[in-house]
Order: sequence, then C-alpha cells, then structure tokens
Amino acid sequence: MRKYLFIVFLLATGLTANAKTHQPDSVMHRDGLYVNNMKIYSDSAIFQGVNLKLDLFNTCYYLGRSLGKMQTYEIAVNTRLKNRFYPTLELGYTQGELGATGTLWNGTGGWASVGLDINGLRRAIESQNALLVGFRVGTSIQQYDLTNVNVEDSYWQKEVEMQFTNQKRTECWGEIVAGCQVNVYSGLTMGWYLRYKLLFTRKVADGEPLPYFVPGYGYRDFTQWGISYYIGWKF
Amino acid sequence: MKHALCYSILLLVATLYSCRPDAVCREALTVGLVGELRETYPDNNNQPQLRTAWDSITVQGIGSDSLLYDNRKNIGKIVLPMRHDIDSTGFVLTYRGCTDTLYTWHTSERNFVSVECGCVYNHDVLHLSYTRHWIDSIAVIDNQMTRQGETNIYYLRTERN
Repeated sequence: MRKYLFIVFLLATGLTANAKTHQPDSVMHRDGLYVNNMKIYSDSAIFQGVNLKLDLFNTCYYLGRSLGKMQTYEIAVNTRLKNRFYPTLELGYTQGELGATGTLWNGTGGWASVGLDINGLRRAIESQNALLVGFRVGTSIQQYDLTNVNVEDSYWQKEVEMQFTNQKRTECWGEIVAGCQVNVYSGLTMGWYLRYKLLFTRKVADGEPLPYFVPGYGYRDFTQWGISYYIGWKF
Repeated sequence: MKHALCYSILLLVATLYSCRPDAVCREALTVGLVGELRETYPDNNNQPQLRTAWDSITVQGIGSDSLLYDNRKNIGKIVLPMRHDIDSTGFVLTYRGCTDTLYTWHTSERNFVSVECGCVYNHDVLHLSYTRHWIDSIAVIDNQMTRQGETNIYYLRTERN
C-alpha cells in the first residue's frame, strides 16, 4: 500500500516525469551553465532564481463548489536562496457569494501572506526540485454583506430576516505548510502545498456580524486545512 | 509526463469533493425571562420548607395560540420568550388551578450569533406587572436576558396553614 501511495505521490507531483523526460543537456554560456535551457546557479550563490506560480486548486474548487458564483485567484512568488531557503510571497483576490443555512455571504476581498520554506531534499546543484516545509503569516481585508440572516423566534413566530450590509473586516492568520515544487519541463514547474491554518483574530465584539468566509483563509473556523496546487514558471 | 498530468488531475478532482462539514447551528439560542419558583410551605411539624420546582404548570403567551408549557411536571425553571417587535410581552401562568398574568416591559437588542445560527434578540427587563392570585411577589435577580440562561426572577409565595 505504501509503495503504491509513494508512486501516486511521485506521479502526482511530476517527479518521475522530470526524471524520465529530462536527460541532462548541459550547455556552457557566457553567463553560466545551462541545463535543459535553464540556468544553473552556483551552489554558493545566494540568489538562485525566482518561481512565479498560479494556484489552480482553489480557483477550481470554489468555482465548482459555488457553481460558478465564487471566484478566487492566487499568485505566488518564491526565490531560491542558497539552494535551501525559499522566501515566499502569496497574493490573492476573492469575490462571490456562499450560502449557509439560508444566510448568504457576499463579499470581495484580497489577501497577502509571506513566509519561508526550507528545502528538505539533499542539495544538488542541477536539481530544481524541492520538498518544502515552512510557515506563512497572512492577512486579508474584505467588504461583505450578510443577507437573509435568520432570527430565532420559534414561539412567537414573528418571521424576520436581517441584513448586514457594507461590513468590513480584517483578519490575520498563521500557516504551517508542507509540499513540493518540481521542475516538469524547461522552466515549467508544478507543486502542491498542504496547509494547516490558525486564525489569530479570534476575539470579536459581542454580536458583531462575522463573515462566513475569509479570503485566503477559507471558512471562518479557528483552524482550517487548505490545499494549493500550483503551476509556475522559473526564471 | 502524460501520466503525471493524469494523476495530478485525479488528485485535484478527488480533493475537490472534500467539502466543509454541514453548517449546522450548535449554539443555544433560547433567550427569555428565566424564572424559578421559591415557595415556602410548612411541613407536618409546622417548620418552613422550600419548594423550588413547580408540580405542574401551564404557560401561554398573550397573543399566541400555542402553549409554551402544557401541564409540565416537576419543572425547576420556566423560560418566557419575549417578543422583539413590541416592547411588552404578556403571559398567563396557571398553577394549581390559579391563574396569574405577567406582563414584562423590556428592551430588544439584536445580537448576531453566527452565520449558521443567525441572530437572537437579547432583552433587558424594564418593568414587571403581574396579578397576585397565586404569586405573592416577583423578585428581579438579574434584568438581563441572554443566551446564557441565567435566572432573572424568582416567583415568591408563602403557603400558610
């Protein structure tokens, strides 16, 4: 079973594709060594390239879950330093509506998170693959409406539905992330992250109409799991 | 390369179906005037004893067709939900064949609980008015009615031989 899981993992991340399809094709240019048309930085170099990534998972997930009513987009950029450290910046935008037991959250917001990943793979100057573990600190700001909010009145049955419009809220959270980033072809990279998120902004004023959803974080629970699946390009 | 892409899409689709658990409200939402009985009665030796549970009580809101408590036995607390559309709410309490009417004048303040649970109204008791057929008096302990369900009033009565 473990063997099969490992094979699925390798296939899913493109590691085997990389191993099979890329026979090293080294060319020495004036500005350095290139393997498969990609610049290879010296092991001692501090800066070793930038990877610009687009998250496909969350875009597809929320589009599918909300039947097209929810759009979320995320780009991420990381740089490789000393073949080990990956400082990362992630930026995203969400707009749309989600419903819960009649109540409708309709919001627009953006988020940013910064963090650092550490490559757990053995250092290899020609390898662009990385098995990453790291952290993020994120913040988001959103403007939202909560409509059709139910009011509990089971005895008197005075049906009232509340609306809270033009609400604004800023949230902060931390993440522990684990995942990988692999070179698929030339500069094309793929990778995924599993994220465990902890909401920092838990204290709220009594009766404050809190949002159902936090851009970049997910449903507003105190802890949350997340997945990202990236397609990127390495410069 | 082809395999890698196929398995990647498979992984993506599999995780796509993992949704959030159903959004169900698990909070206590009842807000009302919580009242306890404090009835003293003499025992066989003529010593005062305290009774804190109603043997059997029927309560109906004035303006409502349904009973809030229908001949409920051995009940320690009764919770009277206030109306949020007007500033006074009335109830008819029937206990041991006697009927008393209780009117509460109160504030109503909207309080958001969560998206799953919606809103509740919290109330503050401003004034109470009641008949004294069975009840001797009502003591206000806490004038704030909240979801915590703390006791607001005592229904006081002294039974004499």
